[in-house]
Amino acid sequence: MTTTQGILIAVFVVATLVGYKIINRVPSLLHTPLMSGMNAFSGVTVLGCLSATAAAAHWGSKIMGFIAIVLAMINVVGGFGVTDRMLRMFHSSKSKEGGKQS
Amino acid sequence: MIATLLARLPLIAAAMPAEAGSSTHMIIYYIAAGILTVAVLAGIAMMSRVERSVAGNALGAVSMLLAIVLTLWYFDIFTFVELWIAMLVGLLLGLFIAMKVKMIQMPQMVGLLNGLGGGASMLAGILTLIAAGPTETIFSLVTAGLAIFVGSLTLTGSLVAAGKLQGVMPQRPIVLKGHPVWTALTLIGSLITVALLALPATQEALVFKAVLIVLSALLSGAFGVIFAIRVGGADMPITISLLNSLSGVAGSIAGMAINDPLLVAIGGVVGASGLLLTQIMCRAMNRKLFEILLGKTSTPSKPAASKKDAPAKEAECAREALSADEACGCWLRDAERVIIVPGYGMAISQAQSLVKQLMTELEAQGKEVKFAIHPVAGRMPGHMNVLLAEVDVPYDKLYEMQDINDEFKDTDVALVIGANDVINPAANTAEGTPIYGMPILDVEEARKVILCNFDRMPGYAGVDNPLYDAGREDHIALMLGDAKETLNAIMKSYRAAEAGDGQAQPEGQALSTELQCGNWLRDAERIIIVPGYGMALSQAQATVKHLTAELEQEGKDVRFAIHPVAGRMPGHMNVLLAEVDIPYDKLCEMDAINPAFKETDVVIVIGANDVVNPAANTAQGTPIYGMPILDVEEARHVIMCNFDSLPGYAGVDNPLYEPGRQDHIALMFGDAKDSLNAIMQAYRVCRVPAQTEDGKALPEDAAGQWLRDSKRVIIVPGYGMAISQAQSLVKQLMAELEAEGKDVQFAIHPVAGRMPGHMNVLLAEVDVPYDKLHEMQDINPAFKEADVALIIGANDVVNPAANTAEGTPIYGMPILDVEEARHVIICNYDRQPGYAGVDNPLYESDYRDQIALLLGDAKETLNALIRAYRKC
Repeated sequence: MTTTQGILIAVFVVATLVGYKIINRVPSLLHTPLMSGMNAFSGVTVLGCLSATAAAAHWGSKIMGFIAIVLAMINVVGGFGVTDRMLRMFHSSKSKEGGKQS
Repeated sequence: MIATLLARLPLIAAAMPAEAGSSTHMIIYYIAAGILTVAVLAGIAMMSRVERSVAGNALGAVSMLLAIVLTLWYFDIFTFVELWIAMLVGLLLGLFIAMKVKMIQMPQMVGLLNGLGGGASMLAGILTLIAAGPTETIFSLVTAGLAIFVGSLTLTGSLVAAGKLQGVMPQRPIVLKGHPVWTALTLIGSLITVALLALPATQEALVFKAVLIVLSALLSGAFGVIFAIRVGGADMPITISLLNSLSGVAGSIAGMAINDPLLVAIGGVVGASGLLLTQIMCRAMNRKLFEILLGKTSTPSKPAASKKDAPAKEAECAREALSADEACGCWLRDAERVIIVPGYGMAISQAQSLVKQLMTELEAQGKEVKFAIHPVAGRMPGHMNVLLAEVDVPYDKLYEMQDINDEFKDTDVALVIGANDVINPAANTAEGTPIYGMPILDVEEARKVILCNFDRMPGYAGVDNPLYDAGREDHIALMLGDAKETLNAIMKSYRAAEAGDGQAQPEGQALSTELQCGNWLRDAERIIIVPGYGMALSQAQATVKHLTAELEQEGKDVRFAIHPVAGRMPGHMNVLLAEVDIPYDKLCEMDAINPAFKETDVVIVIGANDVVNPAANTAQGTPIYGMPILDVEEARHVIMCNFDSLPGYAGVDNPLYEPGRQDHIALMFGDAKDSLNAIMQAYRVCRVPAQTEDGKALPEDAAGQWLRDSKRVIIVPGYGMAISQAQSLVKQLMAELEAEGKDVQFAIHPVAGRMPGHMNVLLAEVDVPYDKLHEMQDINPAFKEADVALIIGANDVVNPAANTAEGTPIYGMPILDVEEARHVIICNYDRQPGYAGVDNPLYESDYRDQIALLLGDAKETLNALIRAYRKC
């Protein structure tokens, strides 16, 4: 195993642990928005798809790459969009002003 | 930490097509990637506080956008048009979904997005493998293969889960023959293909490689399907969370395959999040993840035979002429043997699940239920069997004609649902008709027959059915109409008959359950509402909000207790309640609120079952034993709104439903919305001491009371105010209301008055601040939040006929939706139609309870109103 691979695995482990720690602090109140937000982040694959599609040699690969980018972008946009919609619905009784959250 | 780690990654990307990759170029990339990862984590961290969560989400979105730009820059692929097109397509689709999806569909939405993420990762893995040459590192090949495996199973598993949640697939667990074998085969098969794909030799044999890739995607996908189909409805929260995690893991592995640290990091975070949620769900449901993976879903056990041995069956029913559905209820209650005869009518009306429910309820009382299947019932052979199997009616209850025909004469009730020709006795007698001689089901022999049919018309064969003839009401009850509706009516009356046996007996005029609920609520100070999936199914959250508002108006303390697994995904109830604007600080988690139950006067359970089932503490050996529950029993009174008294998904009887606890627990069966409305009405009746009831109360008194009780008032001025020059009185009323801390706004219709902005001028004249004057489109949504809408001399602009009365001059005109307010006070000169000459339905005396009509000059009526308000 090369250093690169070791580092990639280290990145994975560290990100997972740090993520776990941080997400543990999200109240269960917001678990659904959390999930849809994670949907958006799982669309991060779009980065890999972009470079792979650009580099693709055959038209078959290009088409697959195209589909992959579309799917991932739906995730990113749909995920963030719906999360935003949901989060804006959560109001505190203290913030009375028309019920709008700042 | 990650930033520094990532910054030290100059070695990566040897295999990348980054010819532009000078070392500074690369260093910038890794530093930026590190910063973006930290930004993403910060965004998620911001979600730990509701106030900052919207900003956190935005930070995540911006980070993602920058990451895309960074990638395009690093690989120098800005100019690739197809990438932009693909992104645009995805963007538009994503936007469309995000805007269109309803909150009730959120579980499906999350499920679907899980799948798409997995699918994209799978494709990324495939692309990597296709591009791989013989020099590719084993690490890349293995991770690419794994990305296909995890991505594909996430894709198919999520689609199945979303399908189940959306209802396009049956919710119940589907178990294939030899399920474990299939699981093992597909799992091992996909892992073998992944291993073969990683062999350097494979990279040379292009065809072999292509076949392997397809095979591994298919096998993994099959594994995903097999894994997901046997998960039942209530285990969905766990499954959805797990798939959420997998979609992240798939991205992360794909990132390893293509040496992209950003993907690895963010995918890892997503994986961790899903895993954490999975853990929380498992803990809350008292399940082990491993059991679910192995398919040990909580399957409902058979309801314990007859717990109640038929208490005193004096059938008071028989005495008077009962309506048909009442008769049905009594017959069923007194029956011991019931045969159900389904026909095409059941199929058309899709009533099979109701049939199944009726069956379960009858069996719960120890009755024997069988199904008689005529060979040609329905539209294809075995049609009825399929429909009944779909709703889990065990097939050993389905009898063919020749096996069951002899049993009709020993049967108490034969219930025919949408079958006609196959039970038509004319087949035995009416010579010359097309059905003469056809073997039929002898339902007539049964002691009682209930016929649910759409109408009295003859069936497909065109021969009149003598069973429909009048004059046989003692023997045959005819329930005409859609099978679903008639079945519902029968079920209701059956429940009423059963309940009549057990409950209403103890005291002569025991209060009706609703009234009792109303009394409890009136006397209560602390109330806790426990929402469950039943609320989601019935979409009752708006009703819940209404009830909450009314209770809070009386100064009662209302909170919500949220069990972690209530609903179909983590936080499901919170979203639904947030949707109807219930402040989140009223939503309390289980651990926080459990000690509060014993201090609570009334608990209202809405469509929650297992999560409040005290059997979890006592019934050893049942699936829910040891599961933490909400201790609703501790409260002084409990109102249970549930569809029926059947056990919940876990199949364990809920002792709260047992009879004999009426002083402590009120059971409201049926659709949650209906029950809640009934409770609300009863509450209003109990609260208002008879005055408004007897019609003598003056409208202004009621109106004054409404204003007194209100928090939000919207005033709608019209030309009548101008004519009567009542604006200063309006201003005075506003000042008095505001002095009491009420929120007063004005709704200005664009054509109110005689010129544009007429009302604004009049109100400005009396010093009403202009920020209280709202234009129609801005304030219309606020009416449904308003407690009182006070209309002063406006007519056409609030006339709901504009929405309905086609052909009239005002049809289609946008109006102020005053009707949406809880109460409406109308000050108008008379009941005459306005300028447009169209009658206003709001003026009709019995149009709605919540409208008070004050007729006369606006100044006078306003004065009366102000006096009444001060008095209250």
